[in-house]
Amino acid sequence: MQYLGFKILVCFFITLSAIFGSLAFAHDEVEDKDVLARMVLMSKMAANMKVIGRMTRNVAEFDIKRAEEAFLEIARLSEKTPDIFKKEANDPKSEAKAEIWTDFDNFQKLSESLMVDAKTLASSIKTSQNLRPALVKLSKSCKGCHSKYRE
Amino acid sequence: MESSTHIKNIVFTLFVLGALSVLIFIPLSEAQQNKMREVRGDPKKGAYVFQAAGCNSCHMGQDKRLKNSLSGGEKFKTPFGTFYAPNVSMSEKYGIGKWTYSDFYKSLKSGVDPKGRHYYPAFPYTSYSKIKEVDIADLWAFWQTLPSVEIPSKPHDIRFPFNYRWTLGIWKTLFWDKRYVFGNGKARSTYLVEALGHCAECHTSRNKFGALNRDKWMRGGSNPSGNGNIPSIHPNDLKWSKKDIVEYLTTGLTPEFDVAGGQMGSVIKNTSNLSLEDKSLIADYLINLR
Repeated sequence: MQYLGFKILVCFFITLSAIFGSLAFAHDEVEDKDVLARMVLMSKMAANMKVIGRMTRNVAEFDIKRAEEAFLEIARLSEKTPDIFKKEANDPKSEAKAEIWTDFDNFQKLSESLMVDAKTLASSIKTSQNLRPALVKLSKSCKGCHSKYRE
Repeated sequence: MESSTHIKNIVFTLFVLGALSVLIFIPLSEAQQNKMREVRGDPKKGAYVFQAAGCNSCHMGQDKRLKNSLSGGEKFKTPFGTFYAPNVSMSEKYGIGKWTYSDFYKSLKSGVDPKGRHYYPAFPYTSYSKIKEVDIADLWAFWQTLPSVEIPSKPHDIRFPFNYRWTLGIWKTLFWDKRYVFGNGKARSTYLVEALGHCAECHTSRNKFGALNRDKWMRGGSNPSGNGNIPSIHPNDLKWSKKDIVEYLTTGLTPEFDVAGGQMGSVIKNTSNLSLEDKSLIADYLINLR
């Protein structure tokens, strides 16, 4: 029993270091700490999209709780987005367009809209059939912002 | 002495080529024929062509609340200067409301305006010239149903000597290769990608004269509307399956569940409305491209 507990703990730390390791690897050339914070925020959003997406493609088993939690986490992250992007900062690796800061009110509005959508969608998931339409709707919301403010 | 004569000869040759190219690239007889006959397109089919050709990706106005507002304004920074997508709405004052079918046809097929002035290839007529006449007629029928938006076009900010449009006559003579690159236009997959979709215009790099590097077809290029690069979609670099490509064209989601951004976001808005069959054909082209 103790051995099993130890194995679970090891797996947990390996997974954790893999996630943070890959985030660090992807952004290791970014020097500006504000840009880095933005990139980490977006990576977390993508990681949650992946949780939902893997279920829609039957790569992962449908788990209503995990799906709901992923939508809610995206809602929480989108709530933080305007604050994290508030300071205009740049880096050659950044994909953020200057329009974010010349049009910040709209950027904020779109972030809020994503938050509302993600919260609504979280409560809409009842069966695996609901998952794909919800993901498509969410991706439209993401795209609305990315089209304007991402290179 | 000899070199100055040589330069004079080159300048003279370029001038003659420029003058000739005006004649070569305005198919007067064809345009006149179109003017004479009544062209009846199908606006419903034209709406589909409009999506496949992605006209609104560049010409969409800044006020997104107005559907299909083609007042333009999108900025394209290039080594030659900055281009602004013009107002091509049905406004008689600011757009193309006074155009005939023949004018519309010539703009796509020959890259010239109704007065015969050359367009800059920022307007992708090098791809659109391959569009079938029936599709152009349908597109024009649909275009005429679109709203008129009373906003003036922003003038391009092009540096000398490219601000002289006649130089484009020379450019067309030297660089406008009208052949298909992969396959021929008879295959709908090629037609969708190389003519309507004009994917290469962004996904292929350009030489120092702004012409597409056909030997580096779809292997990525610099971003015309911002910083960074447009990625390669050549199968040597893009290892997506057919299903992945169809999914991306439908939802904008990559296999890693990242969401399309920048100009590609607008492209996806259009491709998401294409039939599954057409999206599969686009994927076929990209997977089999050599």
